[in-house]
Amino acid sequence: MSKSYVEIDFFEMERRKNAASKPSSPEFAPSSFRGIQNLVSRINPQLLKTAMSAGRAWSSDNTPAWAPTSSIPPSPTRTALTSPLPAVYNPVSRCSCVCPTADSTAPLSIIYNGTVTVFDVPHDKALAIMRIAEMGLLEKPAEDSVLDGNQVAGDLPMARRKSLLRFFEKRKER
Amino acid sequence: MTPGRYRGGGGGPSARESGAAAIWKGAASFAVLLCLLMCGVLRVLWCFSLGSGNFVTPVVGERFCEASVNGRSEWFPEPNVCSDKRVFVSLLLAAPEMENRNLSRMMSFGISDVALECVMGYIDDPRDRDAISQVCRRWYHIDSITRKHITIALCYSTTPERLRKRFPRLESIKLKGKPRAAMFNLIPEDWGGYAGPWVSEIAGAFNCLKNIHFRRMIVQDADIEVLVKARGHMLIGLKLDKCSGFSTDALRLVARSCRCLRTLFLEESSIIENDGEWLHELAVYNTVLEALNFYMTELRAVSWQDLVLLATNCKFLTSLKISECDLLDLVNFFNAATALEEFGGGSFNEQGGEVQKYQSVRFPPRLCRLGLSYMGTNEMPIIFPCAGNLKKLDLQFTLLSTEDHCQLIQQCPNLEVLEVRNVIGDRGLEIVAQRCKKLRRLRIERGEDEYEDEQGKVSQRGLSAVAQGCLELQYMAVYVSDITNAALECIGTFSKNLYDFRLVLLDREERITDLPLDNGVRALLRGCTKLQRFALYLRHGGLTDVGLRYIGEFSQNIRYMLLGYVGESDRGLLGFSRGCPDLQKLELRGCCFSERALAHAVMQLTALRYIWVQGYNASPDGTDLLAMARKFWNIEFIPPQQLYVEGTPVAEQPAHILAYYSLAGRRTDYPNTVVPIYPV
Repeated sequence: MSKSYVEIDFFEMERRKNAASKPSSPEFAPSSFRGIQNLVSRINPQLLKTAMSAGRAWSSDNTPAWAPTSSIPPSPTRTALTSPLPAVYNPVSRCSCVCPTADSTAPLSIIYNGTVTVFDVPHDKALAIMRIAEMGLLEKPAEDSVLDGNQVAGDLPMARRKSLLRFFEKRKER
Repeated sequence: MTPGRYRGGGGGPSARESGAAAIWKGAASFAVLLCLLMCGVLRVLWCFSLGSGNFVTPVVGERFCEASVNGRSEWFPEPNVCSDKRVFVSLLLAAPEMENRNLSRMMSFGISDVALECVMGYIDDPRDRDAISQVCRRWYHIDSITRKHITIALCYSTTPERLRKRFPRLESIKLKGKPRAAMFNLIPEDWGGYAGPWVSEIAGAFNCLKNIHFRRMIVQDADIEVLVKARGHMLIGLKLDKCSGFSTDALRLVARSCRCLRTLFLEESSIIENDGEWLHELAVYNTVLEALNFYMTELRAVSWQDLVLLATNCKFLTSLKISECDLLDLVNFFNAATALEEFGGGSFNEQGGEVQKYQSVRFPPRLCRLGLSYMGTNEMPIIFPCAGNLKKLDLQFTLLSTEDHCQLIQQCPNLEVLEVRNVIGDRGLEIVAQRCKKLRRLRIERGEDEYEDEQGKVSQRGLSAVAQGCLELQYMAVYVSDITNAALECIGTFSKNLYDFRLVLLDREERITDLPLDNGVRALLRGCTKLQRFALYLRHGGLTDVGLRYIGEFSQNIRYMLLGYVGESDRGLLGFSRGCPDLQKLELRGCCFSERALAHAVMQLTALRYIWVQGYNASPDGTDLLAMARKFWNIEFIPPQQLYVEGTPVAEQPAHILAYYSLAGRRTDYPNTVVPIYPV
């Protein structure tokens, strides 16, 4: 089965190479790692979680042997705040814009907050995920969130008091 | 992040006094005035030792500054900033009076030590005490031995040994452990706040201690054992407030050994329940109990017979707040507890059937503070006979509708404290404004959205009504679904007695009538000049950088602030931090500020001793935080993690920063989830 890879051009390599020929891609490719961090950190976490869980649902069993399939969580250490893991750059496939057939899946690697997660998704779903991420990125925070009416206030859900939470749970049981 | 419940020590600013006490108070005020007048002259003599031994050279780092918030004092250590005033001293020495080095008599201004002790005994305000203690060594010493109560706002800010050396004759101590955010499941359970070291010191040294209050701390059975063994015979008040780590075995020990206990307070603590024997022993052995509180605990083995026995034996029982126990089982208790003024908790387990069932419940005649859990519309009439007497009503844990609230409050003209969920609605608040002219404290908590009444929303309409109708209001904490600048201006105009104001804008509605709230907030802060505690939790676009600067500019007396989703950029924070001259404790949540701006703001806020931040613009490795590194300043970082509540995972929590002044140095008991950052 032919494996094709969907690659997100974080390092602008392809863009620089094909600057003249390709139409301008959206502002999705910062030129530095810090830029990536900023970029990724500005993506609404809810958005990202939705994208990730959607991706997971679609992933198939044929993940290539070389790709890490599990998420690597960051480990907090006592001594210092370690910098997050460096971006996983896949040197194997340098072909840009490979278009697999509609029903074959390819790995989609997402690096977020030091975690590397790989999903196997079909091409159209991958595009959909990228589109969602773009939307979340380009939207000003002041505008209404398209995702969830309850998250208008921002990224942090409003915390509830313990005593009231317990009361609500018990009320449901009655 | 929700506004916390504020429990003032005395409730209001003034207390009744007898004539004789008034005279002493007058003398005390005179002494304070004198002291403050002389401070200017005497302070310069600190740094210069004249060999008489009567002058104290403050040791660097030993000055403790206290702040009182309406009867509740908070104590923070502050590095000493003693400056060299030798120039002035040499000028003074030129004066002939100085020839006579018997300055000890001059210092006391003809007041003997005994008299001074008596007078100082009437001065409770910690800020006054702080000023007095800095006059001279003698006054420092007298303050030391006459100080009766201390509140240590964060137990890691100092050590038990230091406390013992500073105030050896304390009679009452209040210690707080975990950050306030722990009440909202935001802090890991094992973060810290262990009572152990304090208990050891209390057992060993504090011979006058009669009242102990631990809040949000981890207290183990072994700790209570040590405490009881050493101080049980003298203990009058024991409060384990939102604590965890102990069991009913320890309570049994307390019941058996502390025969003088008048107050046992366990509200919202996590208690390991082995049996209900502790309550039985309390009922059997104690005859002076006045207040028993195990409200909001999960204690199940509550025998109504024991409660009846307690009421029979303790003639002075004025307050009982319990966990869930059906109200029908308490009929005999209510008949026996003739002195009861306050009741809270209970339960209504037989709501399905007849309407009449709970009508046999008759409350004692003096009952004026009430809160009934799970009370529904059908059971509400049992309150009507005593509604007219009610001064405090807690409906936060009831099952009432908006209409029910309206009906009930209509009958309570003497209400001074009201606690509800937002199901009360604007309509209910309008009735509060009409009927409850004596209202001092109003708390409107957040309901569950899906299960509540349609009308259960509070907005500018209700707020404005209450501001105009209840002019005595001192404390207002509300969750609103909508807000306008005009409503805040209204509060600024009418609520002149407000010392604590907290507003949270719920995130359900997409459109808010009138944002940003810059002008309203400014008007409120300018109008409410007595404001000492302030919380504003909004959303993106709720307050601009200009508005945030207004907060800094117009918060002259504010000592505590919680700000959520305010400002637009670092510039706002920096503008804010140029003001707030009295701000001691700051909590920030969901703001967009960078670490560098936060560090800079911390350095600019001159009175700041404690800051907690969650949800900010983090740098990849946190190095920007080090910009606020300095001596005596502890910085703790809690990385993002998955928090669990009773075994089930709650949403992933972003990182927190906690920083505070401390003379205790490095904390040694932090868990893996906390990363301390110390200056080199």
